[in-house]
Amino acid sequence: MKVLIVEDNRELAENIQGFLVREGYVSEVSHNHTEAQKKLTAYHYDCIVLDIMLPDGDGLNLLRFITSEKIQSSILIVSAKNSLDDKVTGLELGADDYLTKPFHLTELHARLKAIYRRKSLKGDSIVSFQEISVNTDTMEARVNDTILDLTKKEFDLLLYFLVNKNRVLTRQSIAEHLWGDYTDNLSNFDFVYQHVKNLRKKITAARGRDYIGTVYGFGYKFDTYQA
Amino acid sequence: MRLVDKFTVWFLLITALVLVAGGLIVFTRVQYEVDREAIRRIKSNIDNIASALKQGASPRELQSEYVEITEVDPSLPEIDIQVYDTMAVYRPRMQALDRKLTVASSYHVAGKHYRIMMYDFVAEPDEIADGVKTSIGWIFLILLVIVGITNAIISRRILSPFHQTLKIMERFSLKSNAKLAFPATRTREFQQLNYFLENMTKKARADYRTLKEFTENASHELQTPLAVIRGKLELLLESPLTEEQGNQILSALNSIERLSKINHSLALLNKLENQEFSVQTPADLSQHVRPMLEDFSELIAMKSITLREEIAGPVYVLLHPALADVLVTNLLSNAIRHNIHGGDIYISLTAERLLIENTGKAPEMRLEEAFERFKRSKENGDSVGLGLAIVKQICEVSGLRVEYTYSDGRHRVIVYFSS
Repeated sequence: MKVLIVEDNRELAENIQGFLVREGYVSEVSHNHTEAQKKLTAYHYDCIVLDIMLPDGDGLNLLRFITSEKIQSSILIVSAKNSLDDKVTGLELGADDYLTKPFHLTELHARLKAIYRRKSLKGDSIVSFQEISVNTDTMEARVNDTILDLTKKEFDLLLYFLVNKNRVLTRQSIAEHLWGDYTDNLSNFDFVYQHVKNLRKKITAARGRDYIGTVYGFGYKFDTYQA
Repeated sequence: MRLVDKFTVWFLLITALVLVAGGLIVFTRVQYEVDREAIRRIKSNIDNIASALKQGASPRELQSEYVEITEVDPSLPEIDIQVYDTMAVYRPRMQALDRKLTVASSYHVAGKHYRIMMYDFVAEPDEIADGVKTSIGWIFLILLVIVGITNAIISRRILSPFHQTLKIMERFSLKSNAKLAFPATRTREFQQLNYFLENMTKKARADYRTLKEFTENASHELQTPLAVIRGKLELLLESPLTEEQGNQILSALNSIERLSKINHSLALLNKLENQEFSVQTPADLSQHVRPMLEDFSELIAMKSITLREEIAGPVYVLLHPALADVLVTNLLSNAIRHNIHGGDIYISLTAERLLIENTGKAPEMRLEEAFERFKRSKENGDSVGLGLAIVKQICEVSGLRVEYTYSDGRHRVIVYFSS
């Protein structure tokens, strides 16, 4: 996957790039509107991470440019403003998703993957690792051929783990992924613990390997290297 | 008391004083003129009698009821005029006392000295005073009526720019950018007032915008560094770490989380205060409650909480959909968080109100304090303590009323849809 990161804050762009590189993606960074426009005209990207507040022009204008040039990339808007209007305008202008700062890198990755699957890999709705596979269309998860009886949250959680294999997922990032903005008031991470516990139980019950482990006491990891 | 009434009262008060003084002047003037005229008349009659005497008429012929002619010492000088002002019985049959003005003069006629006295009854001071009082009373009454009527009409005309200005100021909103069009007026005071208001409102709006921009920017500007820090820490987590290091990074991430949540909530409160969520079309609250219950169903089940719900069909409330979500989420998550293991939650939505009731320990703070910012129970150290403050603010800007009670081991939050 080839990603263009349009973000004026160099540190933040570096973070995103650092994360995506480890995932094996090719990623490039533009720090401003003009640079991004040049790159978009010259090359093709699968996904664009777009900060809509750029120093030299509104990111929404870049969005308009992308639509008018019929560039077929999936677009994820990143904004410091959690404003409904901006969200609606962004999505209406052809963005695929909207993420508010400060985001978890794992969340950004999950969103990127999701819009990439939806738009660029039309029809490819299966995310799998070894014996575990998840179908995002039918909302079915299987271990080998056994269908797992998962709740909606457990399904989302499994997908989140599969997308962020070998990453440390903090409880906050899981909570935010599962409940979105609502976690503002739901800081009780026991729920995360319960969900993870149930998911692991259900996978092992279906004779799947237990890839999910606890790290540093507060985090989880879908570890593909474990014996 | 209206301004015009005050003016009127003062005006009439002064007028009354002036009229009293005027009355005194009129009274003395009239009295003086009446006397002067009476004396002049009598005197001219006496002069006529004197000339008749001089032409040889006998004093006896000339005497009458009013005229008395006596002979005095011829050596005495002539008296030009002498006035006696006495009270006397005017008509003996009527037994009424009246003012009698007697004028006397003496003349030397043919070696004799005659003293001619003549009297007449004139208006009494009482009668003049009565007349003056009545006239002044009528004048005052007419003045009262005319001033009353004209004040009502003129004040409406003169004060109309003032009333228009008041109306404009009533509609004034800091948030709107619509220019205030004050009525043109030739009255200097109103011109000054309008000029002052125009400048003041302009300045207030500018200050408000600056403040708003500042808070907005502050909240936005914080998000990016927070994202940077969080990203760096998350990347750091991926590198080989000891358990101790990992723990420290995770607890640092916890604090970032908290910071970002506070920031997020304060930004929302700010937006609410700026009334950025205005709606014209009502939202069906049941459409917000039902999916939310579904979303929370697993959390509710995990705490072994029983949920009872009574949700009426469409319940339309004039509330922004995003706010409806925040309101329901905050109340519902509180009901779960402050619940006991194996407790229950009861949710009821009717056309008048939304009730969320749950079992739980008694609150540590006074109930009114629960809606204050950064108030939270000690047991929930993780909580930011802005949930109920946001609920209250949402209710305030949307014209709803929220009430929180605790009794018999149950927390009860009711949101009434009409205040």
